[in-house]
This record gives sequence, structure tokens and C-alpha cells, in this order.
Amino acid sequence: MLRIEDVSKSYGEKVAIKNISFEVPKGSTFGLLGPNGAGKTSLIRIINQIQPADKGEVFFNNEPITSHLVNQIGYLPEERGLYKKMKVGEQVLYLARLKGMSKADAVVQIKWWFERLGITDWWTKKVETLSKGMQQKVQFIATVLHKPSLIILDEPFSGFDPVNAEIVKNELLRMKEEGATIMLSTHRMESVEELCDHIAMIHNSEKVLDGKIADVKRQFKRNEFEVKYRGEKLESTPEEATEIITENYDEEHQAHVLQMRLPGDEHSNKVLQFVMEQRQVIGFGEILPSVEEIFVDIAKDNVNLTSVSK
Amino acid sequence: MDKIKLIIAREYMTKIKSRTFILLTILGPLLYIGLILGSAFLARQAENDETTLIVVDQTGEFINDFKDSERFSVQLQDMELAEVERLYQEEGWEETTVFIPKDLFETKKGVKLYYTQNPGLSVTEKIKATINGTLRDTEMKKAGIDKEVAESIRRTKVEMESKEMGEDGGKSSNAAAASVLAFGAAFLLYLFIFLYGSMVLRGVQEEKTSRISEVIISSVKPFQLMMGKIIGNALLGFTQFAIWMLLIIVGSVAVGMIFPDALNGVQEGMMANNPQLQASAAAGVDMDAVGLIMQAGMDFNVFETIFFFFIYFIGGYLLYSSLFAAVAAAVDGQQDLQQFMLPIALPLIFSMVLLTAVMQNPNSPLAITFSMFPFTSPIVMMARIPFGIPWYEKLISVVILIITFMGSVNLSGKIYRVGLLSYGAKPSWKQMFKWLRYKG
Repeated sequence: MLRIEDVSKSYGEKVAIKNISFEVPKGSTFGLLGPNGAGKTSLIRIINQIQPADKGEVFFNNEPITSHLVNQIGYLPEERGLYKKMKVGEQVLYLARLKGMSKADAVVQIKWWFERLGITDWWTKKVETLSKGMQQKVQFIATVLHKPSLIILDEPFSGFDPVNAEIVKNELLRMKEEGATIMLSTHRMESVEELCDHIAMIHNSEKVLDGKIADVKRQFKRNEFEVKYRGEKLESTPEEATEIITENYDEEHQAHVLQMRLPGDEHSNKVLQFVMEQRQVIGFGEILPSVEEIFVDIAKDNVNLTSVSK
Repeated sequence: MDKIKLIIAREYMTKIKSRTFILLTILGPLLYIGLILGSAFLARQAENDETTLIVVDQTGEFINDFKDSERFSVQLQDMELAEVERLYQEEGWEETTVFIPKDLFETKKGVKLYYTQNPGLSVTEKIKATINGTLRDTEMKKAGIDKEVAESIRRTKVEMESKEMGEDGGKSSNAAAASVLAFGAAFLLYLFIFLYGSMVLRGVQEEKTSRISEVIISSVKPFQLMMGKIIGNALLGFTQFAIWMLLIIVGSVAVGMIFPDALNGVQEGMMANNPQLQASAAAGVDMDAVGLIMQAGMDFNVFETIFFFFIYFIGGYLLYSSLFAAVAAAVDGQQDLQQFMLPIALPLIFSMVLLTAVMQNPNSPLAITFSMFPFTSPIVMMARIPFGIPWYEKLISVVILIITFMGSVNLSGKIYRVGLLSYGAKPSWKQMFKWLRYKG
């Protein structure tokens, strides 16, 4: 769907992004992750042809991207707003037409969306009379009205209230099922887990990681396991465990929770066996790192690396 | 190209339907006509406010010359100069008194006018003329010149037609009408550049503060957005100009028919003042222009002036509005904006300051220089054109202006593009120059 090849951009002395390459597969929900100031927005602006890259290229469906192809993208920037004095209907119509829709098409679509989100009586309202949450709905409609095959949302959930965030999430999932590809950037890594199936991480202007979330997690798993058991707390821990991460009591399950790390070649059954022989096990499983943990790990390494090279 | 049309259309349609535009468009000419009627009314009011003129004539020769008139009623009294001054100083006199000393015919000196409230130029001129008339008659009689003969000699007058020579064989010129036209055109141009330039400014600022700019420029190029805005507002300007002209012409004709004297009153009042004031009294100027242009007829540079008005409006407006757009895009808050606006608007204001000097001597080195300098040329050249100037000067000035506005539109586009997306800290001039070098 979208391929980014060796893209760099700097503003004067300041490097925004450096040699970034990755691919957004068709039909995926792609999370572009990184802390504030990592270069996510710069990259998104390059994809949308808002600013040119200094180096590298962006391909959309295997074609170098042009302003014509950008019409197939629906982009909701982080800094988003509406003309305050314009009427809601006119405004969405104007934005749709700028995306190349005909007037008749746009009107049909706007009516459909307004009905869908229960805002049919908003057409003649002025934007300034709407609440922030209401304006967000309008912005979202304007982003997806022209049925883009790629929807790019920059920090979509900052500023959205929970109700609207839920609506937006559901609509995104529906559009994904209908074949749209979704790319969203965020610095809040936890919000990505439930929505995205692919990610790319940017740190200090460089891509540090990308791929399928499942693959990434597998790659970064540390052979950590968790066992839950009832009864008295164990007097000793399994000798196979190289590190005990935590030992807690889970009130809800009325069980002890033991988290530990095993050496790479050790079979987890041995640990389970050790506990089972002494107590009633009610749960056992592998601990996969959260995206955030992976990021923190990488960022730490990265920081170390840069400080070492200095 | 279709997208730029959409932007122009939005810019034009939302503004033309806005309450402010409608109010301004309708109220503008109404205010203008009200101003004319008001000043005419006030002028007459002042005249009707009769002054009592006390004539202290020690010669006894002027007794029959001062007559009651619209301006004053005459009262003859006989007293000494010291007495007159005492009355004012000690008795609190408020009358206007003219004192004619006994030895006036010998010395031609010593006439004094006392007042507590300035009776105005027309009254003092009339008093002077009255005394002068009698004085001259007496002198002539003394010299043995017959009054009738003198009068007929005095009436001898040569007719002089002023012709400005050029390659086209010369054309009649009318300096007064030219001044009025020059001032009117230059002032109107100033007003329009400022009015519509600041509309562009506010539009850009609105897009920036409402955070919609990035949404828009993900669909269109920043340059298209900027140009769409500039063109849309220019069209709005043309529309407003056309409506105003129409309303003013219709209104003036209507006023002229209902109050036939009103306009004369204004014109008279204007003429009584000195030429500089006459030039700067903006309210009255157009009315004079209409009258004088009609008198001057076709042999006058009206069409040329109108033609260049449009050329210089487009050039000057493009130059200034693109700079305004760049600054508005670069700066976030209202206060910072003012600070950046001033240096840009300064040459525009400066050219208005130059105007009087330019009109007094349209071919002075000062006038020529600033009619070439692109930031002042629209207004300064507009003030020169009605006087007739060589074609190559106009050509050079227009070419310089075109080159400059192409440059400024280009540079502004770059600053605009970067500025629109940067929020937060106010950029410095230095930073804005850096933006120019960003790849685009």
C-alpha cells in the first residue's frame, strides 16, 4: 500500500527524520510510534506531500506518490481545526471538494455520514456553536468522506473524548473491513496494542523497529513466565529460574503470582512441574512484552549507544 | 487549477455573505453621503450664524461701504482705538470690530480687526475687499483716473490654454483637476491595498489559529492556498469598489437633485481652504473630482488613470498582501503580528506622507525616485499619472513592480508554507530568512 524508502528530512541544522524505510501492508492497521518530537509528524507530512523529503521516496501502490494520489489519502492532522464562521455542511462539502469529489457525490456522502453519526440537523449550524467533541466528529467525517484507501491519523486519540474515540475506533474498524488501510501515529503506545497489527517505531529521527506486532513481540520476548497458584506461598522458587521478577498475591483470584525469567534453552514445563507438585496451579503462561516495554528497552539501548559513541 | 478555483470561491462567497461585508458595503457610501450632507449643513449653519460687525471708521469714508449681508450685520460707531481695546479688555465685549484709522489714506496702514471668536476666512476676506475697493477708488480719483475707464482696463484678461507637449502633439491639461484626480486615485489605492491586504492577513491568521491550515494543505499546495486567498480577496475588492462607485454616483445625483446647493456649499468650503488642506480633505475630494472631471472632459487623462489604477492596484496589492500573508502565517498571536506588520506597512504609509510633495511637483527627483521604488510606486505613481508623465517612466515603474511582486509572492510562499505549520514560539526575522532556504 505504502512504501517509504530511505526518507530523510531536516529543517536547517535540525534533523527531523533520517533514512527511514518501512512498508505499510494493504489492509493493515499500522501504528507509527515514538515519543513526542521523534519525527512522526514530519514523516506523515512528507507522505501527504505537505512538505518534500530532502532524500528518499514514498510509493503509494508502487507508484511514486503525487499530489493526485494524495487525494486517495484521508489525513487527520494533529493540529486540526475548522473554519469557525462556516456552516458545518458547507465546510465538509468544501473540504471534500478540495479532495477532488464532485459536489453531488460529496453531498450524498455527507448526508450518509451525518445520518450515521446522528447529526443530521447540524448542516446549517455554524462551527463556532459546536462543542469541541462535536467538532471532532465533523473533522473525522471530513477526513474519511471521500472514501480514502489510506487513512492517516496523527495522534488521533489526543483531544478526542472517550465517547468520540470509541465511535472513531468502531468506524475505523468497519472501514478496515471494507478494505481501507489505516495508519495512525501516537506517542501513547498502550493505545496501539488493541488496534494495530503492524508498527514502526521512530526514536531520535531514526526508525528503530518495524514489523507485525506479533513478530515484534516474539522477537523481543525474554522467556518470561507467570504461574498462579493457590495455597500457602512457596518456600522456595524453581531453581531453573534465573531471575524472579515479582511475587505477588492476587486478591481477585485469591492466588499467588510468581513471575520469573528462564534461560533461553530451558523448557517451561520444568517450572510448572515444580509448582504443580506442591500447590494447585490455576494459571500458567508466557509473559510477552508490551509495545511500550519494547520501546523503552530500545530507547535505553539507543541512548547508551549514542552516549558510548560520544 | 480546479482547487484554486474552489479556494477563491470559498474566500469570495463566505465574505460576500458575511454581515460585516454587507454592512460595510452599504453603510460606506451612506456614511460618505452623510458626511457630505453633514459638512454642507455645518458650512451653512456657520454662515447663518450672523456676526455683528462694528465699524469704527475714523476717516468717515467707508460709512456707505459696509452693508448688512448674509455674513454680518453692520453697526457704525465712533470712538478711539484705546476705547475699543478697553471695551474688550474691561467690559468683556464679544463683538467683532473693524477699526479704520484716520490716516489710512496716507499710510495705508493701521486697519485692525478685533474679535473674541474668529469670524472665519470669508468674513475677514470680505472686510479686506471692501476697504481695498474704497481705497483704490479714492487713489484713482486722486490720480485723475476715471473709474469707468479703470474698470474696463482692469477687466482686460488674456485667455491662456495650457498645453503639455509630448510626442502625441500635446494635450490640454488642467492642473486643478489633475491634483484632485491624483489625490483621489492615490488615496483610494492606499485604502484598497490596506483594506484588502489586511483581509488576506486576517484570513491567513484565522486559518492558522483555528488550526485548519494543515487540513487544507493536505489537499492543496500551500502556494495555491495563498494565491487563492489573495485572488479571492482581490475579487471581493473589485466587487466592493464597483458597488461603492455605483452607490456613490447614484447617491450623489440623488443628493444633488434634492439639495441642489449642498454640493456647492462643500465645494466653496473646500476652495476657501488652502490647497494642501483641499487635497487632504478626503471626504470632499471625490465629489470635486466628479465635477472637475466632467468639466475637463475627454481631453483629460481619466482613462489612463483608471487603467493604471487597476495595474497599480493589482501590483501593489499582490506585493503587500503576499507579504502580509507570509507574516500572518509565520506569527501565532495578535500582538506579535502587530510587531511584524509595522515595518511592512511603513513604506505604504510613507508614500501617503509624500503625496503632497509629489503633487506639488510631480517631476521632482523625489517624486520620480519613489514612483520607481516598488514599495511606494503604486501610490506615488498614481499621484503623478494624472499630470501626464513620459511613457517610459510608467513602463519602468510597472516592470520594477512586476518583478518585485513576483519575487515577493515567491518568497512569501516559502515563508507561508513553513510558517503555517509551525506553532509556538514567535519566529525572528532571521529564522524567517532561514525558512526561505528550506527545500520546497
